[in-house]
Amino acid sequence: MKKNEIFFNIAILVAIIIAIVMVKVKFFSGENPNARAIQDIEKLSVFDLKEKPVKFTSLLSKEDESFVLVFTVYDCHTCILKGLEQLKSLKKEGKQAIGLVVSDDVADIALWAQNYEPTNLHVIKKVDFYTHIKAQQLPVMFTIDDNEVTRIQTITTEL
Amino acid sequence: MKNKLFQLNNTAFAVIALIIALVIVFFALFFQKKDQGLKITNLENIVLSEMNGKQVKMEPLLKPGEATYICFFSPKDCFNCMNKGINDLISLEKSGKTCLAVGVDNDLDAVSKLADHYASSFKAFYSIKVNDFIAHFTIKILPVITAIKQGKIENVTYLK
Repeated sequence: MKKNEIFFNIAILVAIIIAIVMVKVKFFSGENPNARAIQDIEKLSVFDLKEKPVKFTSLLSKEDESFVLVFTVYDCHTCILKGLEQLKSLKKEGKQAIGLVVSDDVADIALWAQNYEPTNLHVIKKVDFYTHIKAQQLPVMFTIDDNEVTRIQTITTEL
Repeated sequence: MKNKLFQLNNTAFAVIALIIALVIVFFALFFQKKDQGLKITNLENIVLSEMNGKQVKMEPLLKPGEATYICFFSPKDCFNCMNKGINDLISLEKSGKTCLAVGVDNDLDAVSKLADHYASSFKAFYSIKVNDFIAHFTIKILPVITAIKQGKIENVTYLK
């Protein structure tokens, strides 16, 4: 094999390797961009409406996806209702669907919840919300699979 | 002749492969999805006004190594949204977090009036001029609670 043939073969090989690596890095990095939306999920504690602390991860489905609606009672009312309706229909489909209200007053939320049909509602303290949850806007629906957020859907009045 | 043709094909193939690789590298490097752009520039130069008009640098007000929660608001924002932000700061402060409320306005009196309203429950009110806010922060929507850690915006929560 001539010298320049060897050079061109090496050049082809190098080019192909660069292309494969770049395509892999760009499109198949496997990194989930939503994974950081809930940080230290194992350490996160929430409260049920009887003010009993519960480990957040214990509320999530072990085998399937779970859906968590995070909101405050001061968010747009239509958006909250829309989110709660989504939770109800997900529950009907057999999915684990949880409502997480950001508040420091669990008793107040328990009263508020009486106006709505029973939904799997829990309360997250404000400090835990700001420390653990990275949500730019509320209400927001997180899809969580294997303790990792896989989808973030901001609930708005738009369809 | 056949050998020369093979060599030519080889050359063309190498050149095409290199061009394709370079195009991929170019796209990967320069057309990556842009960051949301929430950042602070020249933190060390940011100057805030206390409610008595005294100028203070912002950097020493931030807790080193931990997140500092800052509610940026304009006194012209919807009162309920801003009120929610200040109440969240009060709650975070009670939990041991460092919190600041920064009014974005050229009129110190407008921010000062709001600070008086919360005087009994929250005291860390400051003011920043609109142009200074635009120059140093890329946040476009107010009111907002930002978590700033090690000079970087770690998270934002819009209050509207």
